[in-house]
Amino acid sequence: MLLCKTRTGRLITTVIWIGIGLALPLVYGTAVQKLGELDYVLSLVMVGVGLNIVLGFAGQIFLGPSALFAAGGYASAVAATHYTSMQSIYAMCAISVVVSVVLAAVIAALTLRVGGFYLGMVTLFIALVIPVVAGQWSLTGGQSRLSLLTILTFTQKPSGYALYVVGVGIVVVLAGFAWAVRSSRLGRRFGSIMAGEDLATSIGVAPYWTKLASFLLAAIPIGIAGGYYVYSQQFISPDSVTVQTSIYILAGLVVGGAGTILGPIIGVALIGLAIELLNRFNQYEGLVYGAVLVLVAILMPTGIMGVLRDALARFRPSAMAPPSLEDLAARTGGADAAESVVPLAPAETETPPLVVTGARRRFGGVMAVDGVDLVVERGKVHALVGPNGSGKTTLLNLITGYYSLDGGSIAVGDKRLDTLKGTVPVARLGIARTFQTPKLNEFETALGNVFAGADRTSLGPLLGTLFHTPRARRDDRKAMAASFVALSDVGLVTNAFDMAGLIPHGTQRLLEIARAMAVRPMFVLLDEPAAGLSPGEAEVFKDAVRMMAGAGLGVLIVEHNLPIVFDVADEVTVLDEGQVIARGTPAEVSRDPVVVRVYIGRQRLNRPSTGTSAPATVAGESP
Amino acid sequence: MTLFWTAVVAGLAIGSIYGLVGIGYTVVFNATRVFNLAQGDLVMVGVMGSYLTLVVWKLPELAALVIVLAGVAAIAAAEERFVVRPFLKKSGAASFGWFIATLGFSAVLEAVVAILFGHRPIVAIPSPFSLQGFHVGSVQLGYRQLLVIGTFIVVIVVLDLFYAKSWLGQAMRGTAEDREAASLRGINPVSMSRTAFIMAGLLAAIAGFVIAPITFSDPNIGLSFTLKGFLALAIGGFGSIRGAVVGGITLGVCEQLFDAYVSSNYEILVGLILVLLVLTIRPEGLFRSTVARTV
Repeated sequence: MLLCKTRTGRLITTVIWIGIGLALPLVYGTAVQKLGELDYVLSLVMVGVGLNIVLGFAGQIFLGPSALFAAGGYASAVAATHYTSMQSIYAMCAISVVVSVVLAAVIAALTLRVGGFYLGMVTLFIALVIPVVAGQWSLTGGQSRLSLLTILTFTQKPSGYALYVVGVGIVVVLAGFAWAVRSSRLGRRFGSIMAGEDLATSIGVAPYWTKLASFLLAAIPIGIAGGYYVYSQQFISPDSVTVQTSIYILAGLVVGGAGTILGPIIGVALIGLAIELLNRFNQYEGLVYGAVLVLVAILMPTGIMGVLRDALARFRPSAMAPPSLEDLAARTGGADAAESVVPLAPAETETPPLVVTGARRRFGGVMAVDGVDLVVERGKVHALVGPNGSGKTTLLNLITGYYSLDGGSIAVGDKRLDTLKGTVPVARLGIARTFQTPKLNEFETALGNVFAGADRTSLGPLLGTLFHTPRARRDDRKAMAASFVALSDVGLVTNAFDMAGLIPHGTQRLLEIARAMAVRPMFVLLDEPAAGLSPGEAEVFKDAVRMMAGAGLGVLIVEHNLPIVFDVADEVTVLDEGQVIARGTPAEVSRDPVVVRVYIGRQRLNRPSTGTSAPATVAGESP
Repeated sequence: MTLFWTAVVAGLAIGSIYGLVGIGYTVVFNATRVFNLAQGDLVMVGVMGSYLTLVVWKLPELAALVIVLAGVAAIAAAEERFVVRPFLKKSGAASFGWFIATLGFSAVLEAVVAILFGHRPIVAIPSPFSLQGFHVGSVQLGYRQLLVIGTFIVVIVVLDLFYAKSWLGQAMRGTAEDREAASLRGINPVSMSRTAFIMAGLLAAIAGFVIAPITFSDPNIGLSFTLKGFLALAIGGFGSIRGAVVGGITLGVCEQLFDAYVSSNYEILVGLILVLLVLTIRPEGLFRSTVARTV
């Protein structure tokens, strides 16, 4: 969290930062007006913490945080002017949170259906709309400010420095909240969504609901900010919640470092203080913040925290070293590792096979898949081969729900896959997959990537993971242990703490397989898994495939590299132009005259594979 | 009925501008997958450029138009080179960077224009067309409004021909559909993105020049155009020029009718209500353009 490895170190840095926050008025000024300005900066910081949950954790573009801030602030101010009981800081924050969350729910529920940047743009528009509407409406005071000072029953208590301390306290609590979110199962789902929706859906993470959750969680700190703002400033006016506020907070977030805990706090605080201090250069404000946004986004995309981390990694590598394996093993509790790669439903050994019947799919005038029958049995390795464009990957995409069938059916027992909506329910039924181009969270460690998959096996309530309940922590320990086992099955334990984006391409494929195994599926579909593997990796790959089949999984491999496939497959189906032209054991298929005629000239069947002709062991590959 | 038709004509004119902003987005998005948040501010620069050339420098119309076109296109090209291109190579989690950068660039444009012109009073920019128009029945058709609408129609026709007939237009469409395949066929994605931004700049300049006599010389209108242009796309359907046209006109006409019959104070709510309605009933917009997913 705070660039420190040990718990004591983190505690000390936290205390130091809180001290800096509390002592800031000594430098900035303790006059009532100065404290008011600092209170304003604090409320911007709270908004920044919320924005970070959507933008930094879940990677969703959210440009108008001031929309929620303004809505919550106005609601609490209106309530306070009408009801005496609504004049305490708690009541005002509570009202502001409720309004902010409700507005967030409405906007997100509608805009997330379309995806992309609708959420970002519509919130930015609402940030523009609210001050205009508030400036016209008599309820919100019109162009003049809606002031709490005119209410006789209102007294600010706490006030002055005490109020500032309360504000700092709120920021500390919110930072803890952000940390709890990020390190929860939900937080890891945010990470998967940020890394890419195809990745997320392949491990059963539903994009819509996950994004919605991130937005609702973000609305809580932003709502608190609205209440705190109105309470501390004792007024709200159209000028105080303009759309520019959103741009400043965005700038602060980017400057500090989106996705970190401390970055948004420091960044927004710096920008907020700059707004207050440079107020007399008002005209140049937009120029400065606009330029900061452009330059930081291009030159320093990880923000201050990213730069600090890189510097620390260079000058004190020991401080940034990942925890040792023993350390982690102790933390995860080695005992749990025993129940590692067991299929999702280990009790039902009689689980029926995956059956594709008469599958048909047309793209324009081309029949990509034309009446294909296929059976993938559990405990067996089934290879799907064929020339380029023969419909192999299309079939895989049909099974996993990326495309819908034009005819035929796909089922596991009496459960139809083809009538499910999209990829997520298919993944949740226990169908895991890998991709032709590995889809990984590049900014996460190898272990973190597998962990995101292993999370699917945790059954505790999702909300509980936000509070890190004992149940959730037990789930996490188990998932972590299972992730280690999956990593060691593909020989990547030594790479556990390498960033996934920085490991070689072939290794990334093995990592994807580890993630697919960590989901504990019934069936694993591998899309050209052997492309780009080194000879040593190819051996590890073959072992991993045999191991998966041995553990009772049904494995379907779509592949070009026939020698590798023929080494591991129990059964082979050959496709050409969307139709099955042969099926049988590898030996039968490679002798089949039809297969030889279709295949020869494009690829020679009996060419010795680089994988099998290479020395059996390669340094660094043994687990 | 006079009130109604007057509002409709005014709505067609302002809707044309929303449509032009929306088309500017579409042209850039189709070639680069970047949503240029400075598009509305480029229109604003077009408006202020007209003010500078016509009011301050007192140049003849044609010279002013040429200068505005060249100036805004140059700014758009610079934006592509320095603000957007650094992100075209990156992917993954940092991919929202261009969003932040184009938003920052729009703030810079707005601030620079405000510094240069902010102290001057907001005035109407002269037009060769008189304020008057002619009457059809009791409805007055303003020449200036007709100029905007006419320009919009011409732009749509020219763009349609460009995409359908010219090699460059087809190359840009190809890049939009499959970037990799396009670059394998010798189409350079970098020059496509530069061309797209210059086209978007020209569109913004045209929009700014024709709308200037109607909107006055206000440096603060940029963000509003940016967002209304997006609403036009969201209403009409994202990704196609047809969607931008339909959405822009719908938004403009609804706004003016709301003004005429309900209240001009809350005009800004019209876009919000429309877009939320469309998202509820037809999330993909009135005209859908489907994009196939590939894995």
